[in-house]
Amino acid sequence: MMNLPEEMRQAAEELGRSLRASYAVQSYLAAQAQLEVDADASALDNRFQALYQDLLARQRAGEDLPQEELNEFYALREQVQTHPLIVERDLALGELKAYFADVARELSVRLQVDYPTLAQEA
Amino acid sequence: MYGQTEATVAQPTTKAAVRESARSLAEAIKDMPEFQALQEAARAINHDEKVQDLLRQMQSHQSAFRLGQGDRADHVAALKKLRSELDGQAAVQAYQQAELAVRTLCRAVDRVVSDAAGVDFAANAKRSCCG
Repeated sequence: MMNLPEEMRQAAEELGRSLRASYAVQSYLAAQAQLEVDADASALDNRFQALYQDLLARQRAGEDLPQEELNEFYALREQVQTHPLIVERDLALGELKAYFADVARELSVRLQVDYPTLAQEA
Repeated sequence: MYGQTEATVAQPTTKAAVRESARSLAEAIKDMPEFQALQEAARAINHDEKVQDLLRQMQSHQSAFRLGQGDRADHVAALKKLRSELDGQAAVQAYQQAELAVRTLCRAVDRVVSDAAGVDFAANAKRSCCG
């Protein structure tokens, strides 16, 4: 990873600290923490995310996904979409993303480049 | 913990502070040699007659392709040839190198922002096609 000049690193840390103090990040971190202390909810969330990523990768690779696995995905999705702790975390994440997009737009407008595209790992 | 009163009172101040921090960071990035090199490379491309001519030809083929004018395979072949010629131009190669350097810079910046925020910043700031 590239070493940043001190002034740049401080400016980046200041933005990060400001974001962390924001209502959007605090709400998300609190919702995620509540989810993680509930072993059943956390296991359900992890199982759904793992299955989703696996199916997505295989679909993108051109595989015809077996109906049995799709049914498992739909059943898990229904559980996830109705679990109060996961719903609350996902709502908080949605608000966080909208807020981060607004802040990133401030950077992009001033730099005249799309900051999230440039900064995101491939 | 995060009741309505706290949200409505605290959020505007925090938002203003965050925007100010974002503006300061943007100014710091603009001062970096990597970013200035990218701007210079973009200016060079805009003033390079050969590059602009190749881009115009590509736009013409893309437009004809979309409108269904002429043989689609001919347009695809022409676009491939033009793209290859474009990539061989010194100004384009200089731009691509400058962009790579700015990507590396922005990724390092974003790592610091994300670590301090406690959440990945750029990855969550990207607008998805589905809202």
